[in-house]
Amino acid sequence: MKQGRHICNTLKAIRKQIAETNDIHYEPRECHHEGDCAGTCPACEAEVRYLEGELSKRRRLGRAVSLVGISAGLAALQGCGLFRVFQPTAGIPVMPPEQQAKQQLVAADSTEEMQVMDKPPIITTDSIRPVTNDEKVLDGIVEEMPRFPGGGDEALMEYMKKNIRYPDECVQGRVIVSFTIEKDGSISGAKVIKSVSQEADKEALRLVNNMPKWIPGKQLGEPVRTKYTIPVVFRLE
Amino acid sequence: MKAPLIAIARHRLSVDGDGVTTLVAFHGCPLRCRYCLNRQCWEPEGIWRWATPEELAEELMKDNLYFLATGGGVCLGGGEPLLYSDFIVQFCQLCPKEWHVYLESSLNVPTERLEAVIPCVHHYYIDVKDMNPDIYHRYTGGDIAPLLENLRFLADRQLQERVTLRLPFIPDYNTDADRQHSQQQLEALGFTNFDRFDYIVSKKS
Repeated sequence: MKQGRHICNTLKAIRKQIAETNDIHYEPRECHHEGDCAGTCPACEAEVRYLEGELSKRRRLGRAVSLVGISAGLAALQGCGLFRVFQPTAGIPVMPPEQQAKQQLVAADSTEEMQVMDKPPIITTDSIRPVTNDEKVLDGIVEEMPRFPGGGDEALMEYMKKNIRYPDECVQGRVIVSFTIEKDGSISGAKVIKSVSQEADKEALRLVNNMPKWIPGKQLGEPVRTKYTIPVVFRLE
Repeated sequence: MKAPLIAIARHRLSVDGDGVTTLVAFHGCPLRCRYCLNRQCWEPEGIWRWATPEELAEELMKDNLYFLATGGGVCLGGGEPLLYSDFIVQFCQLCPKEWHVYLESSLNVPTERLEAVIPCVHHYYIDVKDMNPDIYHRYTGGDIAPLLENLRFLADRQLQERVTLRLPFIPDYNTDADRQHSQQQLEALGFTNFDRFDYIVSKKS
């Protein structure tokens, strides 16, 4: 899935969650925007304005509105794999509009796509790019990101839900685990980069290390080793 | 007051901070890094647009729902955002208090510019490059002294938890041993969050 479409779907899921939490009637429509929407096409923007209007109405009527943090876990999980974007400078690679057309011709060099307000999507970059060799682990976005087998992000969420064993201790929070997806899809080098507690960390590592083989990332059509980061969310019902 | 921008990038998912964030990239940088990806931030024609703090806040408000729902906010990068610390302070005063503000900086600026934004910034991503003054100068063209002074400034105020330090392996400029040495120096200052990664350089550069 292209990154823009992935973002579009994630934002739609956030909108849905806002609507459900606040009892707002909302039927997200399939985004038919041509090209890579990234949640910025007029139809998607209109849905945000609709929700804002509905929330305002509820506030005016003195009804409680829940918003802060309600989709925190969703954004983190949906963003998995985008955690580490190749950033060799203080900023992220951006491109002036006049260079965009040229850059789109060298999309194989791109490490990231960006959306600039009121401008067409930008594809970067020309001076630095991932290279493929046996040893290198690509630390960021590759042309074809690795996918969890049987349905990508949704299947990964399902796997987590089914297999997570809550530690005995009362614990809530997100353990962030980073790992490498090898060229054959196997997992290696899993480590906790944001800890919640010893028990929760242990369980998060167990889940990651027991995952089935992934569909590996590809660069120039060839499988590559890719670094990946996912949050494992512990939430008490 | 207006600041020059090279881009505004919306809907970034857990890329530069938690949740959905918008990146605001400022024009201008005191460094000239050999492998810089955003060279337009050095060039006068690289300015995409100018904005007042009010205009910027208003523009970013269109993603307020996403920021609030996901615990996201705004990432100020560039270029070097701290060249516009007064602008940043004014801008942050206009933002909803729930927004998280992330700053990506080389810290190669006078300390008063960093000091001004401390009340506004929730987390700092600092591009250290390398702690060896010679390597730093060879790679960035700049003097490492302001960076060191600003790192000590953050450490003196016990802000280490709110700082992530980027330590790249830079082909032809440093080695993994240099990077390890940099990390040790920074650990001695009490910093604990490190982002180690490799620059991958194409033949074209």
